[in-house]
Amino acid sequence: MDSGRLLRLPPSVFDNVNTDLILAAKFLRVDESDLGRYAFDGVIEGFAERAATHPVLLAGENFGCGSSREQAPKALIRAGVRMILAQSYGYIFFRNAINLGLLVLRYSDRERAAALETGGEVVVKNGGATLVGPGGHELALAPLGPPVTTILAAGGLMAALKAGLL
Amino acid sequence: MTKDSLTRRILEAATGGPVAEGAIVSVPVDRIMAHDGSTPVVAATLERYGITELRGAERMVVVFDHFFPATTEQEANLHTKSRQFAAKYGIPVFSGEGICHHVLANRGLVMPGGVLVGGDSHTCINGAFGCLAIGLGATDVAGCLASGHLWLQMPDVVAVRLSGCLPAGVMAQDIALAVMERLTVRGALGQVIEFHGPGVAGLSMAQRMTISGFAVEAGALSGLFACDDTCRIWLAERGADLDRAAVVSPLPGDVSADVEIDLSRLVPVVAISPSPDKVVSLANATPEPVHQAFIGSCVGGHFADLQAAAAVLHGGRIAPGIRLFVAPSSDAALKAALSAGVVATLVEAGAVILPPGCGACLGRYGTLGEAETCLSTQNRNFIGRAGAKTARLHLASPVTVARAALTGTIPSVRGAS
Repeated sequence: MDSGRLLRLPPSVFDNVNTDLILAAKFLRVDESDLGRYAFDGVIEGFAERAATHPVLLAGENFGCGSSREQAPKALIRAGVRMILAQSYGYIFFRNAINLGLLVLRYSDRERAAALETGGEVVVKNGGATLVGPGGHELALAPLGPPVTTILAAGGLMAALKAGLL
Repeated sequence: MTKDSLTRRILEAATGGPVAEGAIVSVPVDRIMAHDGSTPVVAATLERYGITELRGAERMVVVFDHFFPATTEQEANLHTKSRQFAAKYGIPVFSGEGICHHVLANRGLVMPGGVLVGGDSHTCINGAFGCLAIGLGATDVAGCLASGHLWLQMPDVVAVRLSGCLPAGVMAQDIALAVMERLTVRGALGQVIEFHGPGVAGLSMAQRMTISGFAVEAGALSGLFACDDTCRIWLAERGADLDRAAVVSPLPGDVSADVEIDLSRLVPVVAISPSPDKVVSLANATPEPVHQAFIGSCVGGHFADLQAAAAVLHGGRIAPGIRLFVAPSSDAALKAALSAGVVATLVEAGAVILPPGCGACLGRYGTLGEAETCLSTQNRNFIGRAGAKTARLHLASPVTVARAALTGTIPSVRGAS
């Protein structure tokens, strides 16, 4: 999955989004299949409904900081998120997302990213080095290297380990 | 020329060769930890993929701390599931001994110069013992358990130089928050914070653990101290493996520092809701009514923390309408506090003692209601962290929290929104 409609996170939840905001502790025991409806509960109204039709999240710095709870990326995946674009990530969230097969990409040009609005169709090109948005608007991405690419290609860490790829 | 660092020394010892800047390495893990929150997810992940050969099983321990004792049937069932998983692979389960990171340290299961991973973001605490202690999510823990290895990119290092002696009334939490103020919540993103300098020698292991325990709040993988005599003696008393302690001896010469902290100039501070880097000094604060005071968590429930709080509360009584919860970090901290009369002092002052464990840090006990305010010795104060999203959670040292419990007000910033 390397294209889709964009969902820009609101300004108050754009930078330093922690995993408590993505999935509050009170939902940690919820069945995995039901997690999607609790993503950003009480933080972004109607998030799950919006993500279902807008599977590409756009955030700023330090997305997914804080707690190691893997239920946070799982909740995003269950809500329909297929790709995240951010300037940087909490390191545990980044690893968790990759391990679960969720594409997490980095950009550095915040000004160019500012032109990307919710609803716009975006596509990843040039082997993951460029994001192309509406009107041909381009945003440079930091390419992912191994073993991240190996894990993603396998569909996640356990699948990659099972296949003897790591 | 590559930069010398404790992180580099550990990774080069683990891989048996030089490690270039930014290189991807696969390192054997010396210890794997999961708690009652992460173990069921680790178990389910391995089951889903039908992986039953666990090369890391002998190095794994499970600790119940996040919801022990269980408060719901579902939690009790999760404990059962964790016990069954552990029994199947001969993995020890420790319960009733307190917070996982403290149990690892108290049982001598940390190893200076080695690599430790844990299914908890505050695993960085055990960097205090000179081991590269890294918090991971459940699938990564499952991967380490299955393969015995962890892949990671050689991280950059943020060097913090500590000098001087801490003034009376200023505590390790104040040091940690001073570092947070300097680094911010993303100042060490994906890096390792290393603490060096002449100020380190005077810090107890408990103080170092508190400082290391904030590393992930600045985005870091770990918060590393060298293993000096204080560290060696502490670990030798607990039977820890010191075979590789020389790998993380204090670095020769004076390390060039990214951040300089003169401990003698530090003052008591508070980190204002909702971010651990929103730090202000008490001198610049105005009173704000408090509903709950919490002394505990992995960075605020050491015996020394309880003792310092008791010294403030001795002979006094908490303010009407306020509740004070105290959760020792470990059974060892509780036992020491009982022997020293600290528990009696706290209870006489009106404190409620919670079981050793994570306590009110994530709202399992002492959940915060709508629009309530709490002053806590914990390391994280995100929105909704310990209860209602409208609750305010501020961070400070045990001395500051105890003072607030007596007066019923907590320091807040004049004119802040």
